[in-house]
Amino acid sequence: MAKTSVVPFGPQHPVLPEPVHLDLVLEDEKVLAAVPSIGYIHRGLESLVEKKDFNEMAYVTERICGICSFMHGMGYCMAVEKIFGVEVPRRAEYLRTIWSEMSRLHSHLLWLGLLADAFGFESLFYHAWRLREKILDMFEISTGGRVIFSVNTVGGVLKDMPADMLTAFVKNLDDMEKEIREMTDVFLQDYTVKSRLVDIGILTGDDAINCGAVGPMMRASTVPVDMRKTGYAAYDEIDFDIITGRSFDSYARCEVRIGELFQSIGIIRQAVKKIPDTELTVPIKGFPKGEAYVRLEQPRGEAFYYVRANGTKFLDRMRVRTPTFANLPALCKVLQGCDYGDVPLLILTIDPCISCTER
Amino acid sequence: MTEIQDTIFETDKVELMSIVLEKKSKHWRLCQICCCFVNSDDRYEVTYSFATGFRIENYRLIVAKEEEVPSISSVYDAAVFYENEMHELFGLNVTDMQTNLKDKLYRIGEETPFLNHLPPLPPKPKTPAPAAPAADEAKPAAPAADAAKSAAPASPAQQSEAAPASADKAN
Repeated sequence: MAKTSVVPFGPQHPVLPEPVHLDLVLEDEKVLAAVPSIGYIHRGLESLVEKKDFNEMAYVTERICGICSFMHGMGYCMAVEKIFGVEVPRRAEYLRTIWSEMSRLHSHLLWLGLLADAFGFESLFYHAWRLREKILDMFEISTGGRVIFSVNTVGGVLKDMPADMLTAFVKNLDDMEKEIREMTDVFLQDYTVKSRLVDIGILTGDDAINCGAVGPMMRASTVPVDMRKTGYAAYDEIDFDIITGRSFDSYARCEVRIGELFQSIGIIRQAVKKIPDTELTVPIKGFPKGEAYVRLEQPRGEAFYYVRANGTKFLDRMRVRTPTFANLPALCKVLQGCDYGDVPLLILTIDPCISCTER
Repeated sequence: MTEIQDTIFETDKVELMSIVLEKKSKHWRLCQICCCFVNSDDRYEVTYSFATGFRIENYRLIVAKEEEVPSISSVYDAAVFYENEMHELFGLNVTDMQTNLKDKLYRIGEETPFLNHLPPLPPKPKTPAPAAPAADEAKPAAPAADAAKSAAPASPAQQSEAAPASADKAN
């Protein structure tokens, strides 16, 4: 007779980069339901609008997460710029695009490493993170920081990347592309890796929309939505296709993220060719009044930023709906009916960023 | 560039459910639900965002502090987490949630909801007035004529010369 039990998973688990707790209802080795609990690293960053003025909040939003740091700062600044009604200089938009794609590269390489570590392929994990180190070196050269960059400000960016630096970065990425391809071919073709990913955690397109999934989680279920196509920053002048999966499973999510790695390298090449020579910031005078929202495509999916200002230096409300929070219902859906041994891997396929989720 | 619809529509509780059902029937996804407590008016503004493709529409529900808000989790499963979060962190009274996590979604040591919980900032300490320079005991006493001169108030030129010196001392 089948035995039902409730097993706690997390918040401390070797596969989890950040703490999240799941109560798994098991019948023998099958998961019937998963109930998440978060809040272990809730820092109340949204409520800091009462203490930090709207310029300082750009630095606070960067610290929501260390992986998605740049785009959090960018999304917040874009929302405040929308309230002011200012147009950011074109060069600043191109620089934001280049740094965003570099963030996507380092985030996906980090995820690939964690995925390899989750199924015990440690040498592949180290190769992925070795390549990621080269992206972090590029961040350090261009911004002074490897994780938190502090280059976004309301009205533009604070640092420039001169032409010789951009040329060197493109050369670096050209050299890396071959190494990345060798590494990602193992994920896509190795029998042992495929046996852990193919037909595991299937999420259909209808389920993805019903659960509110975003990003690679949704695109792997053949739903072609990518917020970069709305044309924010310099994406309106960059040619790229939306990468979707074909098989709705964990292997498809891996395929989508690997495809986005090479796509990001191509986008950076295009941006470096087209970047114009203008100022980096526009002057911002006075205090914002009104409300605005902005949607960005972070590495994990669509991020929604809402800012409400009342004409003083402190904002009324700042809301960040992060992609991992939107993917939680999809996670609970894919966990239903899976084997207990596949739970760590399925949690990783949503690319969880719990710092972002809890803020 | 793909066109985006950038609108916030105000709605009420009765109309909200029909909007939600209409969006569901047209395969729109629930993008997010945002709760904002307006201190000055003592009311909640709950904004529901629905998206399809690259298009987004926002519907705002304005409710008083003790008023109940119906759950939409029977239509959109994803709403469970947003509604539990709003209830736990903001104290919004959401009824008939499909899965009520009973304030256990966020495992935080602080008491929730967080409304008006922040203590007032402590007053900034006043910068102390610069101390008067101590009299030098080794110097001989000034003669009477000089004493009469020094007793008179300093001219503006002399005051402006003394001011940078005292400012430097304060720094």
